[in-house]
Amino acid sequence: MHNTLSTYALEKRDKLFISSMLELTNKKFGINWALDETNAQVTLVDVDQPTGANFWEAYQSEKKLIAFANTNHLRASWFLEKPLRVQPFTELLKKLSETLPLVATEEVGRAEKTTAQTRGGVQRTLNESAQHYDPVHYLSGVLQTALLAQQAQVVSFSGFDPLYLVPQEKRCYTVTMNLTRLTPAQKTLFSARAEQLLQRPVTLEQARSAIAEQELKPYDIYAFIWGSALLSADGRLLTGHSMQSFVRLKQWPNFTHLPREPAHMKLAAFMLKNAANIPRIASATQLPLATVIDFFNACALSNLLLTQKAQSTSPTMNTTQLVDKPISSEKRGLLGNILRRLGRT
Amino acid sequence: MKEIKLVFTGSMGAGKTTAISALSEIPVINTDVRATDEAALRKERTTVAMDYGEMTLSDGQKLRLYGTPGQERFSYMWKILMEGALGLIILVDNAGEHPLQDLDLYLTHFRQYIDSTSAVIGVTRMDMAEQPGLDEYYDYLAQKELQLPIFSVDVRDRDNVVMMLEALVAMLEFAY
Amino acid sequence: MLSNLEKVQTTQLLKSLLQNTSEICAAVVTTLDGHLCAKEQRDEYALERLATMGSTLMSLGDTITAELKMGACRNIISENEGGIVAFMHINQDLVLVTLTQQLNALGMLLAHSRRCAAEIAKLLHNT
Repeated sequence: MHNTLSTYALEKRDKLFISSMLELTNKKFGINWALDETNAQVTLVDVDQPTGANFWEAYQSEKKLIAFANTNHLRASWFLEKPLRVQPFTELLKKLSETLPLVATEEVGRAEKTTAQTRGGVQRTLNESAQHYDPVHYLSGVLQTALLAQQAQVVSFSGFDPLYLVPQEKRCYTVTMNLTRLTPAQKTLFSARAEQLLQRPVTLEQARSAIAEQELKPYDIYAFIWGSALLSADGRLLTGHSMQSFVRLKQWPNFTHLPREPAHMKLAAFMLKNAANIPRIASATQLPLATVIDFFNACALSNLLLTQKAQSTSPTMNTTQLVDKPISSEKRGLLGNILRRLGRT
Repeated sequence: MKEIKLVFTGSMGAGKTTAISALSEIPVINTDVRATDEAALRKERTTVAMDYGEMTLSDGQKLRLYGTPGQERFSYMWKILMEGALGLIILVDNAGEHPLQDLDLYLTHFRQYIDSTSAVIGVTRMDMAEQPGLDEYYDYLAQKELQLPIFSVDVRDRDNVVMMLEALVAMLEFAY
Repeated sequence: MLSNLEKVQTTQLLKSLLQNTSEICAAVVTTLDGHLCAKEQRDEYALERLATMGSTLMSLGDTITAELKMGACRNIISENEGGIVAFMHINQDLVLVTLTQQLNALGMLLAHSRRCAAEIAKLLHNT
């Protein structure tokens, strides 16, 4: 049994934040709220947006609405001040819970946990869509949300040392870890789902003191986002992207500090010089589609991609044309020999 | 049989000799001499002719690894050593006085070769000097209309050197 | 590397070398890392570059002889269509490069250059 919330006219980052915060507040404050965009009891409306203001005008008498704005200029009874912060958001939900009846879990899809796909013992919900990867359900989304909210926090995952997120420094801290050679156990952290992670907000001072006390090592937070995207998507394309978009790499991923596989070098090399869609990248590099998609996701979340909708010339993508100039089989053999000698095949 | 060789070039003290040592099966043959100029403040010895190392490939062929002298006055050696090279690795010492100017020197000199084949760039000693950051290197490459891999590397770590070679091989195979 | 006085004195010794042996066209003293210290010539040669290349060749010579366990490299001789170039150590830090356009003057070139190198070494040792 729980309460349901939907959003209207919110900016993407706010939606992401809300989604993440719900998971956090539910665990921490013993409330039970779920997002339900089709049949919610309450709707959070960004009334600073023109569409949000119109929505408010049209439905304020019919629906239970929360005004989300810089100031409560509409004198709404339920108001949430921008920017989004954990504490006021939680308090508002708690107060609302007291005024609303609970609805049965089955109604909003908790019972949808019926898919055969599982990871780490946790079933994947149908909400996520079999075709798309939504980082909000994984470690990558937790990290992104922390960056957006600029809120330091400690993340715990079963059997692991704590992971301190310090978005102010764009870093996270944990015990010594070789990101380029993750152990199978470490990989489970990177593929972890958000609900497997226990998040607790801490002050910057608390984080810094714990980091110093435990002598934790700093890591680029984007390296963790990269790793999580690579290891949790399972070949599902990042939500909001198309297989047919033409993409090229803006710059080479700094693999020195990133989880990587030999295939990623091929992909980076091809995508640095050529703009192509995902199927074309897979055929040119002769790599499985799932590998290409996982790499694509990681690049997209790390802001390394230049994208265009279709194959056309663009001032920012001057290498759209694919140059089909295959190297000789002799040279290909030689390059393969070098990789074998380096132990990278 | 045609010689198969890779060339490491870049600024003095960037770690060319160390990078070749990390890969070579034989003790690296080098032509280091005592530095007598302002360079001696940064590095006691400097390469004046070449470094040379070898790796044996699975079919018995030798992959020859050459390091060039870093200083521009030895640029005649750059041309000699690049003759017929399979690929180029440029190392830049980020703790040097003008790392981007250093990179400019090598890119300008080797531009024709890079345009017809490829190269990778390793930025060393970023732990000692965080600036310029990799973004500034990419901005610089964009100005030059070049798309090359750039890494922050510690050439004392063999894995880092292997990674640069891996990237170079990928660029030679796929980035044509 | 060399003080001004040492440079003047070294240049004087190179002058004497060219005065006493008309076959020698130019002489250069360079550091082993390629910096020109002193020069004397009859014609216009690119002696700065010769100095740098001299250091490269001498260093290669040292590397080769060390590789072959043949002891110290004494000279490197480049016999060419238009003359002969000789490279030799003055001491562990300096190299003397001399050249002649006479194709049959190798012995003379080596003998006089060797003596000049020894004189420079002695001069620098004493100063």
